[in-house]
Amino acid sequence: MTNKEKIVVAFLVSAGVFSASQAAQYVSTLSNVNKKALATVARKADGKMLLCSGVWDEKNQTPVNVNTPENG
Amino acid sequence: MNNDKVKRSRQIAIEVGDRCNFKCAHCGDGISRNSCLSSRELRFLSEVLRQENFKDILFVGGETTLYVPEINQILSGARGFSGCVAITTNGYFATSVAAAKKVLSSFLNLDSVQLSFDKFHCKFLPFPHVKNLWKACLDLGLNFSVLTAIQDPLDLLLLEKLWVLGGVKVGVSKILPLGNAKTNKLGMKYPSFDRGILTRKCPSRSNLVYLCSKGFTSCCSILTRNSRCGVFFSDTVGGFYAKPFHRLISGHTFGSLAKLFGADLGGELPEWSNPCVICSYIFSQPGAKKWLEENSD
Repeated sequence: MTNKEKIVVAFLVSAGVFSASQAAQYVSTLSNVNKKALATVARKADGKMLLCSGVWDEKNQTPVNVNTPENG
Repeated sequence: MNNDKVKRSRQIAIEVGDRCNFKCAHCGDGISRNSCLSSRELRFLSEVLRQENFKDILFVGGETTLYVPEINQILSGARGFSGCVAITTNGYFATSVAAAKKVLSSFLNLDSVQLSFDKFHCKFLPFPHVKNLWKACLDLGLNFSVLTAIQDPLDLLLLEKLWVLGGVKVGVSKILPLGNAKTNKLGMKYPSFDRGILTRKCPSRSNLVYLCSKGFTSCCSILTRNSRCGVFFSDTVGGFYAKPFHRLISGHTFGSLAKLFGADLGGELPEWSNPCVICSYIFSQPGAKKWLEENSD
């Protein structure tokens, strides 16, 4: 796995999008262009993205409305 | 059963109704019933806020800014409530900073604004509105955050537009097969089944939500969106915590729930990686249906 792929995998896991194995599987299907684009988002997100599940995020850091009527 | 301590949530979300001026392809509400909290519910919710020691309230819709009088009626009736008040909005009104400030200022005691911002909402929301809303929040001293719904991680590339605003908090939610999203087959795609889900409990089990015309619950997802089954709802906060449903989801992992209700997870469908999807599958099984019948009021 390249560094860029590792960055994307770590990002997807930390944002609660996928488990580690799902993220690795997903990244292996991406084109280089998309890997690069997601790696850029990952670098810029830098802790600003929170996993949302339920109405409040799991860390209770901010009210977030997830899985509510409008699907976000 | 591995019981969690029953702990009362200090946060509550109130669904004020399903009216919305956007028609998003992924909307979990589907066709609007034009619902709205009744006068009795408005008075009742004020009373609940007076009596319960909530720290935060989040108003959700529909589009909450179409319900300003109702929200203000709840808040004005909740004398003594000193917690934080947040809304989720689609931001349609932010045609200018002044227009955004006018609408936000029409709420009593607003502290936080959460904008729904994703590829679906963006079909209706010009990006300058986002900047106007952000600036209005900054000027008014309100917290501003963004909630983005994704079908695929590549949808996150849209967030690049937000970097110009600086440090905006972004919540990521995975689209559920619910309402329009189900009709349009827009649910989040998973590459494989994550067996880790079987050791987890419902992530919303500690939440408290009041769903318009239904009552208090912890689930605002697939199980309860199209159901009026009394098992899931209560007329009172205390009543909900005493419900067998609350005890059930607080005490069981999805793996043990599946075992309890005889749900066959051998198919290991990738979409079962989502807690709400696997939960709705488990509750569709004959064993769960029997449990629901036995525990209905």
